[in-house]
Amino acid sequence: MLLSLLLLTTVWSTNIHIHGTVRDSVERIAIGGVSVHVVGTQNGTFTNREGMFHLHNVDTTVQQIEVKLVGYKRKVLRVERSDVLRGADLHIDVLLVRDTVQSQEVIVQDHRSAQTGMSTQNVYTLDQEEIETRRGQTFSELLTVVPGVTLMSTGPSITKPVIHGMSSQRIVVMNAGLAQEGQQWGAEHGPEIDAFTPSTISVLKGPASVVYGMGAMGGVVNVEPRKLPSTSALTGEASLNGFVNAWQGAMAAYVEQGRLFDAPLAIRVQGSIRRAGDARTPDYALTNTGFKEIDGSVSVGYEQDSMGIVATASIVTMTLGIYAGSHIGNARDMLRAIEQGAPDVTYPFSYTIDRPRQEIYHVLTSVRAYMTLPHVGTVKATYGWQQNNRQEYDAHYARTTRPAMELLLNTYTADVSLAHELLSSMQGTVGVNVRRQVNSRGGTVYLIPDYLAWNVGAYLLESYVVEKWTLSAGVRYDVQSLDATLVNRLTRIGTHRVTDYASATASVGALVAVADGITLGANVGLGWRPPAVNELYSNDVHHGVAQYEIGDPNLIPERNTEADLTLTLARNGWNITASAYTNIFQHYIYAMPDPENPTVTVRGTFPTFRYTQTAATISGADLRASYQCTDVWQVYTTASMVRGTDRNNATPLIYMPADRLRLGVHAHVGDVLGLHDLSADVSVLGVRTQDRYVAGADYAAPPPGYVLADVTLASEVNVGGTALHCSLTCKNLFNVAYRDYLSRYRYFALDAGRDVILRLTIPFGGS
Amino acid sequence: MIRFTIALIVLVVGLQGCKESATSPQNVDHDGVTTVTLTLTNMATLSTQSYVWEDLDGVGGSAPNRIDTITVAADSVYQGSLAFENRKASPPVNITIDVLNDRNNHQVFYAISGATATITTTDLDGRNLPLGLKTNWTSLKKSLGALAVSLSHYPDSTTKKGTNPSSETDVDVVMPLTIR
Repeated sequence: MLLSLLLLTTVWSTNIHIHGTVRDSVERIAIGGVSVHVVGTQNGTFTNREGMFHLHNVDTTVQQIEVKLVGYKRKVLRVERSDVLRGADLHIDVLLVRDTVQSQEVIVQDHRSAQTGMSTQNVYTLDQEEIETRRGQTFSELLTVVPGVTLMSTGPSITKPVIHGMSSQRIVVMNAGLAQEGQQWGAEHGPEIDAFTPSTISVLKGPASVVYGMGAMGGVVNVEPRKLPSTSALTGEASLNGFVNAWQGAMAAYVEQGRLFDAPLAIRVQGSIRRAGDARTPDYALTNTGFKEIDGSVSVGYEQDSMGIVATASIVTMTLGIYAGSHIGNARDMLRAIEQGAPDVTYPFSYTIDRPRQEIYHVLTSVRAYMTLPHVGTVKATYGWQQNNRQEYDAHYARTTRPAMELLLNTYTADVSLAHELLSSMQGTVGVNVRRQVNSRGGTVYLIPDYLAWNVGAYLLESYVVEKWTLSAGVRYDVQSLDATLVNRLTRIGTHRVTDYASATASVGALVAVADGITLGANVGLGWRPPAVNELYSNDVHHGVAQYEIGDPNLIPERNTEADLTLTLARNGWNITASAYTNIFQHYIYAMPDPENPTVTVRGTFPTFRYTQTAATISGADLRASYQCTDVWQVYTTASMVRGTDRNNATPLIYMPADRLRLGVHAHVGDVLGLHDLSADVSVLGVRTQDRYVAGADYAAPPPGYVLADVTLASEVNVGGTALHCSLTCKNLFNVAYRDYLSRYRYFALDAGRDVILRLTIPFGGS
Repeated sequence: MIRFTIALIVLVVGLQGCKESATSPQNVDHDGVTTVTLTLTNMATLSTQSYVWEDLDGVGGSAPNRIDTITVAADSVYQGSLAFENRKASPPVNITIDVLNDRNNHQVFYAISGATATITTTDLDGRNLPLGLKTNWTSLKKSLGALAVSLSHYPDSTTKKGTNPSSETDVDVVMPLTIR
């Protein structure tokens, strides 16, 4: 099937490439996120951060190319027949003229996503190149390109994003319009999202509780599947990845088609598969860190301008090996393992996934409908069902075939919103969200109980644009009812305990165009979340960290007040986004060590951690800056720092990401040696040691800082008329032995060493 | 209007109630050790006494419900035998048999603190390395102390050397010890 499609494309070898740049007509600065689209086809792309775009496989019969971005006047370019005949490559430089109303604000707030609308907040949308050169590993790995986002990892297969020092229940991950609901309370529970899904990925930093509800205290990761095609051509893309470090292979493909049955009906079918063996550090292999993943999704949409409905169903299935040496019996084993610092015995590389391991599946289905009502606005309705099943197999007591812990979480959500435009310069959204969640557990480990939770929330968010200013304000009210079934372990009799929480939140923001190409944005927002179910009711050993965690049923909701300031500058080749923020928490929930009362079990004595609350502050700053020296050369840097303080005890908060700085050079060489769009990227990442910690509160002090070098080469290669996109990346070029502070294996072993990654993307079908 | 919308959504979301029970995880108990029993036989009098360490609800939950004090006579020789059980399961599971069957991957370690007695392991595994379910005790003078009993599990039997505890301790309990 795939082969025949490839052959088909070779017939149309008269196709051309069109590439070029899009700049602002006045300032002549590059504009990113501009849609460049061949009219009458679904062949389209977006400009990257440097304003560059590349359209491939453009049919020679092409007539018009549309270039548009909100805030600018739409431009349609007519392609002359003679242009096409001149050669297979066409270079176009486009100057966009600002639209009078919104021009000043939009110009540097590039990459604004449709979800945030006229947002005054700091949103970073990954461009296509950023996604393509990082794909194939975990989903969270993609997000590390965003300054202020770091990873909490349990080996190479389990990573979760940390935004501004906050993760798990303090951030929200949106997937196809739904807040992803897995068992995200666990530090070794990553988001179950397929990194290969064709989608737009953006990260909103700062509190977004007004729209995204409770838990969006630190930020929102938004994965929005790409719009379904509107033309009848059957097209698709296949991706192949090879990773040397863990001998990992990954394959993914999708096909899509619009105008089915001559109606505005479209479909996309997508699937991916990944398989990896043991990851290797510079000194030894990490036994049992292999993983396998098989994912698939189908989207069907019936979309017109005035109304439409899109249904998406996806499944992610994963088997994740946990490094055998990290699964220790008790506190004494832990200290012995730390002292040893490396595995007991090193085994040769293997694909075997033994105990301990996690087996997970996540099913997500969403149905989204919209309808434009004249003089009222657009009504959107979303219904979602997610089922998350997690089985964790222990290395201990391997005499049973059952998992030590099994959790089944069903989440049903319904959202209705009305986007309205009161005046031409004022628009907003009013909406309600309802969520019902049912969790059932099995196995001997009691980290969370069975429960039923109901959430209902309603919100109003308005934005107002006046001259150089964009102003926004929002309010929201939420209620949650949590009915947990607490089981006496001996008698196995369950008792219900119901807790109710309710709170209002609000936010205000302003964005002002200070001068041409310079904006300043400021936001103040409130966030809150009820205590998570593990923080209330956990009562067991948390494996891998050898700590006994005891919940407190009387915890009250955690609240934060965040203020941030973001400066963006885009002129004369410079592209700078700098932001600073501070989060003031009340009733910040954390696990406090209780050294006076260690927990005695048949497996030995464990240090006791009790969930408790304190006043805390998390402040920090992020920077992304680039300078386009010439058409070819660009230098860039990203940096982030976070400071967490427990104000009641005047001590640093544990597990805050260490300060980091990346310096890089990007060269867009262009066409050489038959390669098209050759680019090279060399960067160095420096991470400081985390020197803010409480001595003795952790088993081991934070590891020393480290410096890693990464190199990427990317190019288009024309094979029989098909433009293959390929890239070759070397991560940790010098095979540096290091341990990251937020790596949960750091007590026992090194992080992974050098990796060489080859990625191929093959488009097929065509207009 | 808004109230109606909310009511409608609540209805739709609530109607999904019944179907999750069919695939619910099973509440099966695994054979984790709840009970460690040390039986000592005085080789002079041939009298036998058992001492129990027990946490009936398993690793999590409440604290151990029974920790006996081991009492032995001074200047005596005893034979010891150790048993592991899961009394939480019904019927109770004898885990000693599992350890015995998988003897190349297990070893019991004894450590005495405070009291003056020596314990030597008398049973061996399939590779002639100590197993530790059977022991010889020689008590010396009157003293008070504690006995730590730990069961190491070696997922890879080649890592068992006879002297080194593994990084996977299945059982690790401490019982008071009185020599009088």
